[in-house]
Order: sequence, then structure tokens, then C-alpha cells
Amino acid sequence: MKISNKKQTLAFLKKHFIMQLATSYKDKPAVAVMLYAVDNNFNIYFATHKDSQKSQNLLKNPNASLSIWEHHSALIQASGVVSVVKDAKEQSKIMDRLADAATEDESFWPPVFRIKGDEYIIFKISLSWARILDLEQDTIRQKDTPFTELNFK
Amino acid sequence: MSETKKALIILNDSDPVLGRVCKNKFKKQAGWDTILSSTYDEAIKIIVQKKPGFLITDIILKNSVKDGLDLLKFIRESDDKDIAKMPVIVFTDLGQEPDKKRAFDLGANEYLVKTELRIADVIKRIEKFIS
Repeated sequence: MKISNKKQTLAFLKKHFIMQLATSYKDKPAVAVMLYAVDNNFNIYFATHKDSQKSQNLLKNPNASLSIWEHHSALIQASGVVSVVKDAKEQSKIMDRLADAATEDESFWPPVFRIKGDEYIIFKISLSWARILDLEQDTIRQKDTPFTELNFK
Repeated sequence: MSETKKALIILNDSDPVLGRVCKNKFKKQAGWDTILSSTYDEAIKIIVQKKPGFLITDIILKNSVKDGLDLLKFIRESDDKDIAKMPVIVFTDLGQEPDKKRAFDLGANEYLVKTELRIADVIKRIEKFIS
């Protein structure tokens, strides 16, 4: 899937439902594999336990990075600022979207269910920047830059 | 795929995502329509109004004074024969024998421990209650 604009990026984000999410606070980075859902405005949503490391990091430092990868297709790297979704109606809609994402693959079962933890907290990442690496070509090196950069501000 | 029949799922209120995922998986993999609720009172209301084909309930209902076994007791003691005969599947984290025995003594039809089963196993175990 050749990705060179926002429309294609959104299509790629919607096709997938798992991301690697990086958070940090002071000298403690943390990376986690997360179930996500995306809306048409490039807001990415995920739910985690309130007492998880990533949640604690994000409550102190709302800057996050993520990557989403598909073999022989593309890698998306992105950054943004995270906020907590507090509105009950919005939370419910997001949980519906996450449940839909989790049902895409018949055998997939979100890892968060295996972990005992506090109640859920729902985060929204408003993307500010993204970079797409084209992985479709199979040559050793590439003449033009394989990266496409997108800004969302 | 089994005949479509309404199921009512009650899950611990602290896990609303689990309920939604189960609902989707039941629909996709078994064709069942599922109504979600998360408290004793909510469940009673739905049971009385909608009379679903069967009930799947967790034991611990965090935002309820009464638990899933109280719900089971309510069903078995109901004057409404349709409600009293409703198959009840307990779906819980509690895997200890005394919990199982209490549930079966109260009239549970099946006792499923979440840590022991995959969703496909849950569907298989429930299918026998679909007429």
C-alpha cells in the first residue's frame, strides 16, 4: 500500500488496530503494544488501566510517540499530545470503536483483559506529526527518500 | 451457526470493554444478539422487559450491592415461568469449588471460568442452551 498523503495514511490507520506506543516520564521510558481506534481527524484512542506505567507516564507527561507497521507495506511513525477522555458519552463511543477493532481478527483477544488492574482510563492522542516509510519496494537501496512526512497542525 | 437467539450478558462494571468485545465476538462467531448490562438492577429490568433467551452473568458486579448469584436466585424464584426456566450461565474469574457449588446449588446451568477458556470455547459451551 503506497502511502503519500493524509487520505492514504488514514486508510492505513483504519486498516490496522495495533500500535506500539511510547511514553516517558523523567528518565523512565516505556513502550507498549496497544489496541487502538482512529477517527477521521487523526485522533487515536486507546484504553488502559489507570495504574499502568504508560497511564502514569502520560498523566505527568502527555507527549507520546507511536508506530504502526505492516510487512511489505508501510511503517507509520507519529507523535502527538495525549488527553484524557472524560465525557461519559464519548467514552462509551470510544469503547464501542475499540471493541469493533478488537473483533477484526477472530482469534484476537486484547492483552489488557489478561491483566488485573485498576479501572480503565481512555486517552486520545491528537497527532501533530507523522512519517511514513514505504516498505513496498524490495530493492536493497532506494533512489528517492522512502519517507513521506505529514504535519497535522 | 446456531439459530439466532437473544442473550443477555452482565459483566463486571469495571470492564465495559470486555462486555463490548464479547458482544461483538458472539455476534460475529455465533450470530447471537447480545444486550449488555452491568448491574443487578439493570439486569432485572432487561430480563423482565425483554425476556432474553438466556443469561450470562458475572458473579462480582462492582457497582451493585447484590451480585450475580443474587440475580440467579431472583430468576429461579420468579413467578413468571419463562423467567424462572431461563438458562443461566455464570461467567466469572472465581474458579474455586465452593463458588461453583454455590452457583449450581442455586440453579446455574453452566459455570465458566474466564481464565480457563477462550471465546470459542465459551460459545461451544453455551451453544447447547440454544434451541
